This record gives sequence, structure tokens and C-alpha cells, in this order.
Amino acid sequence: MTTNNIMLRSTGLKKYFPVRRGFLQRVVGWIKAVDGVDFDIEQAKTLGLVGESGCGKSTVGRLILKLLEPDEGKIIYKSKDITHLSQNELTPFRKEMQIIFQDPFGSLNPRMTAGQSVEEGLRAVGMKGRRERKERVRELLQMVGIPASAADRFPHEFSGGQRQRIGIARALSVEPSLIVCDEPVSALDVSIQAQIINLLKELQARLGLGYLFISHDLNVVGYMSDMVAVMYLGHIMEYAPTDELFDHPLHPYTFALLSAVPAANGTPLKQGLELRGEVPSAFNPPPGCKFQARCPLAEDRCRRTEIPFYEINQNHLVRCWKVV
Amino acid sequence: MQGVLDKSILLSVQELTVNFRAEAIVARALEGVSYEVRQGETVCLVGESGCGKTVSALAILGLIPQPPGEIPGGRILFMGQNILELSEEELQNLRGNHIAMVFQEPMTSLNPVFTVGEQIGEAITAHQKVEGDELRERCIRLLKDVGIPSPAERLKDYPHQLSGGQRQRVMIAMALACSPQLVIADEPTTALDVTIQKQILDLFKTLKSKKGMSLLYITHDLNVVANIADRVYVMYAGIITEQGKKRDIFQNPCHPYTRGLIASLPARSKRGEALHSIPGTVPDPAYKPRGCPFHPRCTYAVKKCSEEFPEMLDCGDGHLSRCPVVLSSERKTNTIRTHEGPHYSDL
Repeated sequence: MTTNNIMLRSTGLKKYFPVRRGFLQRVVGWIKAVDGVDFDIEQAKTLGLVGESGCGKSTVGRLILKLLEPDEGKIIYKSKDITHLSQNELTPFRKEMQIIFQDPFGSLNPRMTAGQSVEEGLRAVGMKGRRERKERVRELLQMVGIPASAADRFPHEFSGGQRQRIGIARALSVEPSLIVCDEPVSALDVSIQAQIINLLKELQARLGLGYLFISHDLNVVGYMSDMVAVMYLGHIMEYAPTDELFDHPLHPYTFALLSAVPAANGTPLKQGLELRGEVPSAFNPPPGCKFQARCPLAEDRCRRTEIPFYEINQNHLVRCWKVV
Repeated sequence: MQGVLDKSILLSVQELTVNFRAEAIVARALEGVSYEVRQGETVCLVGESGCGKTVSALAILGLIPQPPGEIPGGRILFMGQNILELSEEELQNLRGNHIAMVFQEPMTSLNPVFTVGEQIGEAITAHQKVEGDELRERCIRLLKDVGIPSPAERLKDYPHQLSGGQRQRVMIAMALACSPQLVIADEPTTALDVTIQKQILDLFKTLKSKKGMSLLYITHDLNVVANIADRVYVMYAGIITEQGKKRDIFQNPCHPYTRGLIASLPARSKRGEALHSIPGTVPDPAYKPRGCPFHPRCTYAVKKCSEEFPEMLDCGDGHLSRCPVVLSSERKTNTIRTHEGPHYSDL
């Protein structure tokens, strides 16, 4: 992995959620949502995090923003360890890292106007002067393609795509350098999806933003990302530059994902591997490789031992001994 | 109307118009929509939210609540019979028996307080006199057909004990219970993960070839259309804008909306260049623009587009498009541009 320009580094990140049952609410097991995840996000680059529902990709996003406390591992932001900072110590970092959510209907307060939603962030970072703030709000709304005159309207008066733009303006209000995009276009129609994707790309080029782009859609991730991490049941299975991952996928799961996604001309991105069965529960998973239950290549060794990351070349890592 | 006598045509929707009325406001959900499904064919209705694709499916099953809905015009011919003229009793006989539906949300379309076996059983006994062991056998066979492992044990399960993909398989088993000639699937894989989506699409394909049924597949996802369709109808704001074989639609789209949709699909091959995007948003069905409903968002639009409602024009070989501008400008040179694969950067 290259060391220069690294904005955020996550090493061995873990988050287990307890499962409680019965009258006394005893802990009967753990959901291993994120089970040792390493990645880097570089300055002005996009790391795509792709996987099926329940693989832990949103949890990763919340962990690096410290909206959830990690159980183990480290989050290094601009060479400072922020893993164990208190809420107070975190305040300057909150400004640096922001999030855009999937659901543009649920993520805006229906009682606040578009302008107020965006302004809230400015207040939070202590921007004094009402007039100054109002001016900045107009600027931000224009930057995301909302006419400044619409600042006094309420969320229900906007379409889904416009609401997502307001969400982006709100994230940008505090001038962050890293944005976690959690499925930002999944709820949008195709024609609107392209508008938002273009906007995100444009803002990245203009403001030098780093993105953690979380999505289940390989076509979107392939378009947006510079690096891609494929997640399955709390583990990163493969980690590579986008072209490398799409042209030379190594992990059987990556291969299967690419086989399941048809491109617009009807041919799948890759052919040949079909998965049987469904994603098992992350509740008390069996030892060994997380993917073994659905893997066509699985052997005894996969069921016995934890599979480490193998480095294929400088940037390409894969968690499968069979393909190395 | 030449299709009426054609035996191979199973379903023919002709000039269907559906309105929804709320006090003084009339939302025109469908305006003169016509499409056909032939025997053994998979037809996709594709379009963005609010384009009327679901309403047109509900109309086939007589499921449009009236009021607030009203159907002032059109015919829906199923095996030569106009569905809009049937009594409620005749409709009951049609639903499930001849035409079945699979909905998007397997979670909410299954009843949580009945077992899988009871629900599939009900779908059979609603139309046929089958009891006891024979009924059980039929349920097991249906579950087996849709690829559920150890089906005999699953009969006793409740919906919450199944995963999303398995629930959708149960829904499909219920739809197949009486071997209908036509299955309408409304976004059946939208709530599912990609690898599961692939399994369900493959299941539809095998079932279709095994049982010889026709499939009317409704989706917003062009990638799914590319995977499953024989023929495609593209809908926008309550009208059909373009129709044709899958190949024609993807390789040689003749309507600006279809072109825009295809060009705006993100793909790794387009990385580094801006995606084509269609400006603006879908119009409110109560306040549609005059003329071609797409003209305010259309890069090809000329003055005429805001004045006249465009006719369906022939592009050859059953490929029709409702855009005179594209056809007249590109037909002069006698070649409509052919696009290959997902690279539509020149649009």
C-alpha cells in the first residue's frame, strides 16, 4: 500500500454487537458485524466499499466517523489516532468528516427548511454572524444545484434528487475533507442517480474530498471508485484498484458478485461462477473463512483456519489461499 | 387491431387510459397505453417511479380501486376476452388461475400468521378441489420447483423464518399454484441482493421454459431488463415512448428518453468521464406538460414538441418510437446510429 497522501487508515477494526435473549436479557452470542477490517482512504480519492446487505459495510462507515465505538482496532486520521478520543476531543474532527445518507426522505428534518438544515452545521462549528451564515447557505445550495431562493422551502416540497442535494450541501457546510457516502444513490431513479453521481464527482475534483463510497451496486462502485474493497460478513475479502478488481478478480466471492451483475449490454461483467444459497447470519459464524458455506472452491482447510490476507502485488490483497 | 385474431397473442392492452381523481385534481396515470404479451414471451415494462408501470399491471387484474381511479377508455384483452367488462366473480376466477402476480415486497405480501404450506395451499384450493395428502404433495412439488431446499419441512415454517430470497421463492410458488398462462412480476427482485437477484431471474427463466408461461416483468432497472427481456416497452409519464426487441432498444434506441436512460447508467468503463444525465425531474401526473411529456427534459426538443402529442412511429421490425425529431433527422442519412454495448459517450 502506498503511504503518501493517506487521509484515513483503519487497521484491525472490529465491532461486535451483543445478542440478548430471555427474561434477564443475557448475552447469548455476538453478531460480528465488522471483524477486523483494514483499509486506507487517500486524499481526493474514493474507496468503494461493496457487499450484500448485512455484510457490515454501513457499520464500517459509522465506525470511522466514531458514531459507533469500535471494540478493537485503530482509526488514524491524518496521522493522528482518533480511536479513543472523548466526545470533546473529537469536536475538531467532526468538522473534517461528514456523512451522506441513503434515504433522502428520512435524513432531513421535516420541520426545518432546506436553509435551516444546512445552517445547522455552520452553527455547530461556531460560525458567528447571522448574515454571514445566510450568505454561506446560499453559496452551498448553489454549489449543489439548488436555487438559493429555495432555502425557505421544507423538505416535502423537494423531489428525492433535490433532497439528496440538500443532504450533500449540509455535509459540505462545515468544509469536511472526508465524506462517508452511505448508498447515496440507491433510492433514486436512474436519471436522477446520474445527476447526483456527477455532482459528487465534480465536488470531489473541486474541493479535493476523499470519499468512502458504500454501495451494493457494482456498476456504481466501478464508476465512482479508485480503490474497491469487497466485504462479506464483516471481512474484507478482496482489496484492489478498481480496474484490477474488475479485470482480474481473484476471490471467488468477487467473481460471483461480478457474475451476478449484468452490464447494460446484457452480458455479465464476468461469467462462470454462480452462488448457491444465501448470506448466512453473522450471529456466531463458524470458524474459518466466512465465505466457505457458499464457496465452490471450499476445502477442509477453509473450514478449520482463519484465512489471512495474501498480497498479490503492491495494491492487490485477497483473503483466499486457493487462488494465490 | 390486427392482433385480435392472432392466436399467439395472450394479452393485448389497447389504448388503456387510467385517471385518479382527488377533488378537482385529475392525475392522468395512463394515457392510451397499448402493449402485447405473446405466448411464452417475456415482456418488460421499464420506466422510472410514477411512470404508470405498476398501474397498468394492476388494471390487468382488475385491482384499480374505483373511485378514486377511473378507466375512461381502452380495452384489456386476455385470450380474446375484455377484462374490463368482467364481473367481480369472473375476475376472481381469472386471478391466480390464469393470471398471477408476484409483488416487490415478499415481506409484506405474505401473511405472517399463516405457515408457508397454508398459504400455498390456499392459492390452490381457491380455484381447485384438492385436499389432504394430494394438496400437501402439490405444495411440496411447487416449493421444489422454485428451488427451496427440503420443501417438506419448510411447509411448516412461518414467513419470518425464511430469508428474503426464500420468501420471494414462496411468492413465486404461490403464483404458479394453478399453472397460470401469464405471470405478472412487479419489481420482484428490487428488495434483494445481487447474488439472490441473479438466482431469482434464473428461476424465472427456467420456469418459463419449463411451463411455457408468459411473463410480464415490471422494473426500473435496465440491467435486469437486459438480462431477462425478449421485448421491451419503455414508459414515461403514463405513455409508452418506445417499444421493440431487447436488442433494438439497447443497441439502437430511437427515443431520446431511452437514449438518456442508457447513457446515464454508471459503469466502470465510463470512469473518468462525466455521466450523461437527464436534466430536470419526472412531471407531476396531474400537471403534465402539453405536447410530448418529455420535451422539457429533452435535448432534441424542437418547437413542435411542445405543441403536438407525438405519434408512435415505425423504425422497422416491430421497433416503434414516439419521437419524430430523432427519426426525421437520422433517417435522412438512412442510418440510425448504432451504439455498441454500454459505451454511449457520444450522446
